[in-house]
Amino acid sequence: MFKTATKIGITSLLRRRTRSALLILMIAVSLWGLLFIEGIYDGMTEQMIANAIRSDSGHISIFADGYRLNPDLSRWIENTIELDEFLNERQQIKSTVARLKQDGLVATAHYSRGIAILGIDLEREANHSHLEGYLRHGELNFGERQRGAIIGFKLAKKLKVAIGNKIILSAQNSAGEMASTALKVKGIIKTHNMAFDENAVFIAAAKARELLSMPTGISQIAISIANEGEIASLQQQLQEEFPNLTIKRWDELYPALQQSRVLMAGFKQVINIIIFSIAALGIFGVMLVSVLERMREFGIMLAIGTKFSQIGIIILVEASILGCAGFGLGALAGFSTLYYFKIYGLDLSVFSSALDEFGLDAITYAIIRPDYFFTALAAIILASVFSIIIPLRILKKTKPVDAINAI
Amino acid sequence: MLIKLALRNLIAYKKRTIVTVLLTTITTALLVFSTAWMDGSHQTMIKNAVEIYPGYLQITADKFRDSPSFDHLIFDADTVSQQLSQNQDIATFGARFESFVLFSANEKSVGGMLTGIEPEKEQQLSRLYSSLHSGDYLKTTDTNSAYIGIELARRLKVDIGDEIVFIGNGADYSFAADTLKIKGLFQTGLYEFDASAAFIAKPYFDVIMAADNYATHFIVQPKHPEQTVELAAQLGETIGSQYQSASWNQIMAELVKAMEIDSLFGYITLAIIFIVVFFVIMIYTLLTVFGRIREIGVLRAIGTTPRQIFTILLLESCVLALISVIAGGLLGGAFAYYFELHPITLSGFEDQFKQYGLAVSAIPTAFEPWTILRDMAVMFTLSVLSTIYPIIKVNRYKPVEAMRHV
Amino acid sequence: MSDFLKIQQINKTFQPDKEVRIEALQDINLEIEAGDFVVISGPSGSGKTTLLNIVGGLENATGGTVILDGQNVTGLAEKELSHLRRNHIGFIFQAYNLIPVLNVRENIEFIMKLQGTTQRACDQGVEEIAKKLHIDDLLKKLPHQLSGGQQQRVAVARAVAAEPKLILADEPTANLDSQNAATLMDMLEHLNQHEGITIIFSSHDPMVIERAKHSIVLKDGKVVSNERFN
Repeated sequence: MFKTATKIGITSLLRRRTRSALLILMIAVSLWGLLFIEGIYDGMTEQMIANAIRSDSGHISIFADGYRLNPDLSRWIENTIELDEFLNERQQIKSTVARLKQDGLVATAHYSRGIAILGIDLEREANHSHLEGYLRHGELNFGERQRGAIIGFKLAKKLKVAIGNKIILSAQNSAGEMASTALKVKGIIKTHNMAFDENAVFIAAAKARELLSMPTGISQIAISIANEGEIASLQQQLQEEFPNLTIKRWDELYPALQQSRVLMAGFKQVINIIIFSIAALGIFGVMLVSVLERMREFGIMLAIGTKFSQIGIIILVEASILGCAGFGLGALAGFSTLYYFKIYGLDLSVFSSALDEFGLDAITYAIIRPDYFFTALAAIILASVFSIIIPLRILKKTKPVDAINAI
Repeated sequence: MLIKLALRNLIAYKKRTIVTVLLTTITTALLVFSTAWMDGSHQTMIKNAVEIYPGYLQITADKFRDSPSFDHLIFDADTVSQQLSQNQDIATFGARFESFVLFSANEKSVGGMLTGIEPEKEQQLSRLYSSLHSGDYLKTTDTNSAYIGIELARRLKVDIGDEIVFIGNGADYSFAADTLKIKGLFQTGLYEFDASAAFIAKPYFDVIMAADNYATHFIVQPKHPEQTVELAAQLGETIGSQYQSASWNQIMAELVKAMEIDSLFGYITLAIIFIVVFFVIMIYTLLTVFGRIREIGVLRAIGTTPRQIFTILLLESCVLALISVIAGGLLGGAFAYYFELHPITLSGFEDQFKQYGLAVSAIPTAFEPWTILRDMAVMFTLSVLSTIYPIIKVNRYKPVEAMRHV
Repeated sequence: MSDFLKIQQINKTFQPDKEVRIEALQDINLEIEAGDFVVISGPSGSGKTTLLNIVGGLENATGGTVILDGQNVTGLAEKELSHLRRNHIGFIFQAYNLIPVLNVRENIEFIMKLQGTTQRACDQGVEEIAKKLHIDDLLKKLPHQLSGGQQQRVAVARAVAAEPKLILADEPTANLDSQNAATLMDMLEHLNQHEGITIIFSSHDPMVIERAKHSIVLKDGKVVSNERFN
């Protein structure tokens, strides 16, 4: 039966070539556009999140209790040995990085600004955050005497400093007194994490300890793990093991980014619904006319003893062929486009200064998720099935004799 | 005659009429409203960003914008002041002196911006006064009273009446420090600003920072904010080459660009919806036109020229498109108008807005008749264009082929 | 009297695909005088409709020429053909083919409007024709409200409205019962005799065929008989 139905279906679709081609093209183009939007927009959202995770929070950040509310030097993580041991044992952890943070002031001969001083172990930080990918000018090196600083590109722009220029850092030390030190700008980075690009001054951990009179202690440990699914369980383990520390996931530290993700998911859903409803209307129109035109043909088939359900199958097969051809074509086009942009990226550097405002890189790499295709396939099948319900009902109401006599 | 036939056909072939009108109407309404929403939110963001503090128009010394150091100050504020007061297009203006200092209190130090302002004038120039959260706003005669951001106060753990110390440089690069008493707290909603800015009256600022008759910049409030660009150009010419005048879209070029790119993505998304819509319209036109192919063949046989057939079919499309875009324009326009008067509040997304420097959660749409007409014209064109292919295709048939077409 | 319509060496070949070749008309040569009342008969598939279509400029011949009133129809461009059909030829079809969305009056005056006739002249013309063809009480009705015979009478009215020199009617009575067929033939005869319109129609109904003045019989695309009565 299916073979016959397919044969009849294909023949009648070929007879109405323009119409079939238009419909398939419509489904393909709308799917292609939809996939493009989904892949690119997800790419942008995930890039913002990845930048925040890479440059700051990691997947999980550990702080001393109370530090989040009052980030000052009286609240630091002290038992780092125990913590290090615990973290080293965990296989799922890719890398960790420890930072000593203090708010301070950076000044040049002419200009000054409030900033965050971050004392880091450059090698670990580079490994954890892939700093070399963020480096725009200079090098990732604090120099032999640790008198170098790496700063965000926006800060550099505001301070009008370049590689080799001198800056003066001032901050309150652990004793509550003002301390200052002169440093040279060795590197300028662009992380696309706005808070960092505008406010961060990375200096050597040893230099920071000297400046802040902090021989021990750490403000933040950021942890990167291999599998995002294990974030929550690791957070729980850490919290159980170290109840007097604050353990935060990235989405708790950057609620706005998590919100972007949720908002984007909702947005995609709405677009999906709109596009597929309209596409369904298109399929419906074509199927309805196709059935009405062939009343006579179906009437004859019914008259010679074809069962109504078999005619239903023929029509369903036709709608499905149209839907699947459209899906196949659209999915292929969409996948190729997204694959291209996944490898080479969508270059929006024309807008790069504007993209900085959103925390986006100039080049967006598309994301391809299987569920884009599954959702679309389900939607198209659903649309095809719905599109034949009314035509079939009209056909059912018609008697074979009337159908044969219909012109 | 052709018009009559076109109209009769529209009534006779209801399916196509309804689908086309419905889709075009909704799409037009969607476009009109989306545009109003995007424009509205962008205008709100820019207006906010501009009006909270930076102002519509800034006058600085020539090199200050490129190199904002104390070497490039306005060293004769009184002269500038005099010149500005003679301009008829300026509603009001005021001088500011911004300096970056370290604030400390309770063994906490925070880097921030200390600015000397003219308190009375500033009331018209920015939203500092209207952003008063608690305590009092400044007066010109105030001495060491400070008006500081609420987040800055939180970071320093201070409140009204408490004292803070600042350390910084005077205009002559000398060391400057003083104790300030907190007179009032403000909350603009811009987190970064609220967490770093403090203001004192300029006369006192000038004394402690050795900045008498100096200013980093003047803020100018035009009488007609929409003509800021023209005013900036005009001032640039009259005020002398040692000064520079910049309008908000120069000062906030990045924000303006960011809004443009946001619109761009908005339009890309809409474009994809439109493509689907017009494909569907094309398909329905094709179905209807081919459903009538026999009749079209007869018309041709009895002497109607292809051009006249084309005219009839195009007229049908135009009538449908016209009805739809008018309906859609009215519908979308009504929504745009309503939500301009009753702004949409998106509570719950403040965090996200703050990320983009948007200090409000209520966003009015922008009801702009010309923009709506533009959108309507675009949709009309697209709607008619999407029917051209089926019309041309059916017209290519020879009369006999058309009459025999099954 | 010179020949009003000259059909010379007309050939028509259909080639639906490469292997199949159908010779629909082969070397047709006919001469028809002005005011003639011609029937083309023959079995189904003999080429009657094709011949009428070629004469009316609805279809192109593979070879040969059709000269209508001194004008070579076969060489005309589509636009000139439209003009020719509108002003000089009236068509009557087997399936009536009225424009479904226009009422009887509008169907009749449609071509007059295309010719640029004023509303007043149209009204006058329609009234006159309607009276002649006994459809003056149907003017406000839509085609689907009429019987087949009524519809065909309206179709005749439409064909006449343009004041053509020639009316081509392809199986005009095939869908009609004998009484309606007879009425229709009366009308065509009347038009031929009193208005001087040349009429060519096709049919395979003997009762209809015998009313013609000139009978042409086709078979397999060839003229097998061509005789004039009286």
